[in-house]
Amino acid sequence: MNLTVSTHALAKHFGGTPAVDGVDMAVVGGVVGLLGPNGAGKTTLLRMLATVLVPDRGDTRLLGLDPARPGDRLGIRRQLGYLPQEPGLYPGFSAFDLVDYVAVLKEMSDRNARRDEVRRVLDLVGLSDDMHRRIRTLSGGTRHRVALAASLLGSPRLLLMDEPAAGLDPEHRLQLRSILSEAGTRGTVIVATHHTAEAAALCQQVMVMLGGRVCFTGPPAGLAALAQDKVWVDDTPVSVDRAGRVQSWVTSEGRIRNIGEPPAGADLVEPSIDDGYLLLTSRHEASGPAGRSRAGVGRRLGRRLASIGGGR
Amino acid sequence: MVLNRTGGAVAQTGMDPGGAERTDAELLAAVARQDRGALRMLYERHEPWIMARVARRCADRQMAEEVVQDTFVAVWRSADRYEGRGEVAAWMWGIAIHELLHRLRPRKPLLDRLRMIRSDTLASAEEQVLLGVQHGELGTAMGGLSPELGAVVQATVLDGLTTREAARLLGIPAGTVKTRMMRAKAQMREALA
Amino acid sequence: MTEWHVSAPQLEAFRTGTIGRTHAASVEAHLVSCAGCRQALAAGADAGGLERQDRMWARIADAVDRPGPQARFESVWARATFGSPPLAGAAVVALLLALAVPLLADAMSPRAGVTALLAFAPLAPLLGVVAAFRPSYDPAGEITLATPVATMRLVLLRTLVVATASIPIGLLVAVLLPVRTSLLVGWVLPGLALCAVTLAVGTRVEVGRLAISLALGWGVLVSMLARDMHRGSTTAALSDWVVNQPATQITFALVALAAGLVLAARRDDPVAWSEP
Repeated sequence: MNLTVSTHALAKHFGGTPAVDGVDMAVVGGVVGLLGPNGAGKTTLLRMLATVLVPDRGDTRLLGLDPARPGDRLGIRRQLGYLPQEPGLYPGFSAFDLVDYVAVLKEMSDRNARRDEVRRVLDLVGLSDDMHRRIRTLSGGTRHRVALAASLLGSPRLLLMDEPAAGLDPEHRLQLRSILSEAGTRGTVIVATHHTAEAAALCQQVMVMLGGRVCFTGPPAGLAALAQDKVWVDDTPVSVDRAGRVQSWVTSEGRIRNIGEPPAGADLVEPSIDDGYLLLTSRHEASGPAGRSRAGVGRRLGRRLASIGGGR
Repeated sequence: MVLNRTGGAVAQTGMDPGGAERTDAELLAAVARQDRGALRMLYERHEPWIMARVARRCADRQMAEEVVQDTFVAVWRSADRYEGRGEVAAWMWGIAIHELLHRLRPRKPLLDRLRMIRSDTLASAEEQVLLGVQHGELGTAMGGLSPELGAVVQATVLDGLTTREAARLLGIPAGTVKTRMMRAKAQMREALA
Repeated sequence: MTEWHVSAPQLEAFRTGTIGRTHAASVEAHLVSCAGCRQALAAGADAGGLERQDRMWARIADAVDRPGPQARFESVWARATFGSPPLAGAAVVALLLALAVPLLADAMSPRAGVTALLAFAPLAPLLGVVAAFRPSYDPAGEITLATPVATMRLVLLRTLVVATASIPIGLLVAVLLPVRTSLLVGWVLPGLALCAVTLAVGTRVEVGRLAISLALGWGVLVSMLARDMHRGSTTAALSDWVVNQPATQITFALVALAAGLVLAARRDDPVAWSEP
C-alpha cells in the first residue's frame, strides 16, 4: 500500500495543554474528512501536516518525504496546497495580485505560464469577473474564495484545507465540492470541517478528532453505523429527562429524534452520519475529565451518559 | 441629449428580455471598479461595430484587430475618465480612432498623446447641427459630395478628429482639410435646404 | 426621435465592408447612438466573426490580467521582500524608531537624545527580524510559510530590507544630534549582533519573545551605563564605551560573526513555526 500521508504518535502541546495528543493516521489518497468540534485539534494537526508548525513528538511521512528534514520539507512544500483556517490576505491587493504573489512564492517563475495558472484557479472558484477588484472591497465569502484559489495553484498532490466551506453560499459550496472531489482523484485532499453532511457527501474516508486524539477512522457509512440501533423517534419532549437519551432534538415533522440506548419497543430509525458523530462526541464528553467538558450542554450530556453507562 | 440617452436605454431594455441587462454607462462604471466581467460584456456589445468601422479606415486587417484590442485595453485603463456625458459608444469610438491614428503615425507618441487630450473637446456647434440631422438625410447630403470632400467630413464630423488629426489620417495638409471642409459644409447646407 | 433603423442587408453590408460610402456614413452615425442596431449587428456575427472575437478577447485579457503596482516585481525575492505589504510597514516603524525617538528625546535633553539613539537605533533591525519571522505579523504569513520560498534565506533578506532602511536613518540622526563622529557608527555593530543572534536562534525559539528579551536586555544595559556615567559627560562616556573601547566592539563583532556563521549554514532550511 502506498501511503501519501502517515503519522505516528504525532503530538503538539501549547503551554502544557495538549492540542494534538498522539495521532496515528494512514491515508492512501482521495478526499479525507477531518471531523470534530472546535478545539479538537483539527487545525493544529493540519498545520503540522502543512509543515508550518513543528510537532513536539512523533513521526510524519508526507508523499514519502520526512518534513523534519529540511530538504524533504522543501520537496513537500513544492507539492502542497494549503488553505489556513483564517487566511489573512493583503487588503490593498487585488485577488489577482494576491494569487499571483502566492504563485511567485510557489516558484512559478515564467510570467505567462503563471498568469495562465492564476487565471485558471481564479476561474475555478468563480472569480474570473472579480479578479481585479481590491480584496478590501470583497465580501468575506469572496475573500475566502481568493485564498481557496491560491491553495489550488499548480494542482498540488497534497491539498490541506481548513474549513474550506466557511462563509460560502450554497452555489459556491457545490462548486467547492466538485473542485475537491476532482482533486481527490489526482491526489490526496484532507479537509477539516465540522459539517458532517459536507463530509458525508464528499469524503471516501472520515476521521473524527476529539480532545486531540483520533477516535474514529473509516468510511462515512461506518461512522453512521456506529449509531446502528441507537437512534429512535418518539414524542417525549426534549425537556423531559429520560434514561437512555444522550441527545434529542425536534425533527421537521415535529417528532423527537433521540440518540442513546433505546428503551424497549422504541421506534428505531436508520442512523445518519450526524447520529454517529453526535454519539461519539457525547461519549467523549462523558468520559473526559470534568475540566474538559465545557458548557452546560456537556455536563447535561455527561449526566445522561452516566445513566446509559449504568445500563450497558 | 438626455432625452436621447433615456430613449436608448429604454430601447435596449426592450431588446433584452428580463430587463436585468446593465446599460453601457453602468457597465463602464463597473469597469472603472475593476469589474472584468463588465469589460467582457462591453466588448461583446461594441466590438462588432467598432471592428467594422475601424476596418473601413484601415486596409491592414491585422492592424485593425490590434487597434480594436488596444481600444478595449484603453477602456479598461481609463474607464474612470468617462464623465457620464454623451453616449458611451461615442466615447469608445473616440478612443478607437485615436488608437488608429496612433498606429498610422507612431513616430511622435508624446505629441500624439498630447493631441488626444486636447481633442477630447466636443465637435463644434455647427457640426453638432449636422449630426443632429436625421441620419438618412445626412447620408443623402454626404452622397452628393466628391470623395475628397466626403473623406474630410467623415474624419472631422463622424470621427470627431481635429483638423490636424484629420490631415494626418488622410495624408493631406491641414490647410487643405479646412478649405475642403468649408466647401463640403456649403454643399451639404444646400442639399439639406 | 425618429424610429429609423438600419436595415438587415445594410448591416450585413456594413459588417463585410461592402457598403457604399453614402450609406456607410449614415450607418456609422446611427450605430453610435442606437443600442438596438448595435445589438442586431452583434447578434448576426458568423462563425468567423465569433472566432475573431474570442481570439482578440484572449489578447485583451492578457493585457488586462497583470499584477497591480504593488505586486509588479518579477523576482521571487523582490516580491517576497519589497513587495510584501507588512514588511513595508515594519520598515516604516523601524525608521520611526531610529529617527523619531532619539530626536524627541534630544528635544528634552541632549543626554537623553544620545541614550535614546543608542537604545533604539540597534533595535530597528531587530524589528525587521520579527516582521520577517512571525506569521502573525504578516496577514498572509500562514500561506507564505507553507510555500517552498519560506526559508532562512527569505527571513534574512526581509531582515536586511528593514535593517538597511534603518541604518542610513540612524546615521542621519547621529549627525543631526550632533554627537562625536565616533558615535555615529558605534551602534551599528551592537544592532547587527542583536539581529544576528535573534535570527540564528529564531528557528529553535519563539522569535517574538526572544526579540523582546534581547531588546529589554539591551535597554537595561544602555540605561545603566547612562546612569553610571552621571559624574562626567555622559555623551562622552557612552560613546567612549561603545566606540573607543575595542573590547566592546570586538565582542559585538564576534557575536554577530558567530551568529552569521550559524545562519550561513542554515540558509536553505525551510522555516517553520512552533507557536499556536
